[in-house]
Amino acid sequence: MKPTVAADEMFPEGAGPYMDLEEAGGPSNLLIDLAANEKAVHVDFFNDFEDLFDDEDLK
Amino acid sequence: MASPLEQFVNNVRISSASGNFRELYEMIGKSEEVLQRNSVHLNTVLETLDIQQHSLGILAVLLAKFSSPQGNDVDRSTMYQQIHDFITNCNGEQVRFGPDLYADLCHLLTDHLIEQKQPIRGIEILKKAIRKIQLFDSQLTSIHADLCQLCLLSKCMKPALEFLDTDVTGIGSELGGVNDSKHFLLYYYYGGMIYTALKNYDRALYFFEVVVTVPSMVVSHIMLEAYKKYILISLILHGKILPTPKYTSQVVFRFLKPLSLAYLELATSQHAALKHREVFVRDKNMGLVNQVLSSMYKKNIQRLTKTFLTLSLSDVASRVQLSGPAQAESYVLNMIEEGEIYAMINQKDGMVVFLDSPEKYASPETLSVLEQQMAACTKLHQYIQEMDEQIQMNPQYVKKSVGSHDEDMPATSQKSIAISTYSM
Repeated sequence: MKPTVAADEMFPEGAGPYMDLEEAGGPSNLLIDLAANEKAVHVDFFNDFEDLFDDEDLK
Repeated sequence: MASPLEQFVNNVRISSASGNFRELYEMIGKSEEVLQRNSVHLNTVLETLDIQQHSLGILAVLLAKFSSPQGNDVDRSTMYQQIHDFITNCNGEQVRFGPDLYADLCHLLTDHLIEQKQPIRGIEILKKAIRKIQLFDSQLTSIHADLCQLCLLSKCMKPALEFLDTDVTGIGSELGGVNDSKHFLLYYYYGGMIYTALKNYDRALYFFEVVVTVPSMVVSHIMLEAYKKYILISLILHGKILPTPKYTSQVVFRFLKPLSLAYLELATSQHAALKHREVFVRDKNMGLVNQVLSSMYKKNIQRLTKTFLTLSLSDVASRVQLSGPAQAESYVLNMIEEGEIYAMINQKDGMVVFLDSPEKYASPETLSVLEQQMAACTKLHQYIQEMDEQIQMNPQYVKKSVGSHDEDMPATSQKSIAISTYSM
């Protein structure tokens, strides 16, 4: 009898929406992958402030 | 037979009169649709209810009125005034039965003021709203994040400090439990931004650390932006990226780090500032990146004071890679003014003389700072002991710890059997 893959027993429902970095297509594509991955949250949080930490305008 | 809206008003009156606010809160949850459907009659309903006696009922009506997609412009124009009056005059004890509704009303007001580009108008009223719903001063509510957001947008940071400076020891029910962590994360993210703007970098770093170390199974974009700022503040304060605590979730290492490569590169190369300029500008972090560069020059100049007693301005410039003696002079002067180094510049021969710190740590001021810090530590120790006692007495904790102890028992007995077998 052929041995079965032990890892499958740990994830009978499949690997789920998580992914390995190697699969994600490198850091540049990570954001795109994340956007497609429903496990990324708070995508639309309010962060539309101007640059509040620019000291150049104080000089 | 009375219409559903009339029934709602009757229920509010009866429940409020008999003090059954928990029951009333449950009824409100079921009446949402009735209120939304009768949005044109809500003003009449408001006229029939009393703000002090029927605070919870009025809260539900105001929420339905202003969150209704059909809400017309006339309603919107009275929105600020009506919510302002409600928060000022409502009965705090009653609205504490519906903290989620109360917080939602404040979120609506915040969104409305941002839309109207009048964030500063909301600051005082949200401060009042928080104080009214809090059970104690160090309790965090989801309205805290709104207040910080309005302070940042209006560039009026100080009103938020009385809340930010108080360490949180409890969380409002609408914020904890199974609820979304969004407002918790936002409070610490916006709070960190406020401290950064005020150049209280120690506290800012702590706030960003709280965001980054929230236990998490998924990537939050708030965490991502906080992590970028954590890197920058860490570089400004310590000249290196401090490792995050060991209880940081794996998500940070798996996703946040690879998404912040431009920022991580800044720790090893100053050229990264130019190379990734586009990224930093897009993230609105270029101002902070410039501060990182400036702090790196300053840290290098501070390092020189440990080796040299005197150095020419051109030597300073070449050793810390500044453009020339003029820029070196400007940096050294600035650092003397800020008390970051003790030195004199001899204009005649262009030499800098580095001096020892005049501080002998023997003044009454030093003693006072020491006493304050010791008192703060004692207080913190007390808090930890109290919280520890609370956890020890928590039935869930006791049940779980006893349960896990039972699970351990067979393993222990097996081990002892193995040992006894071996000894035989």
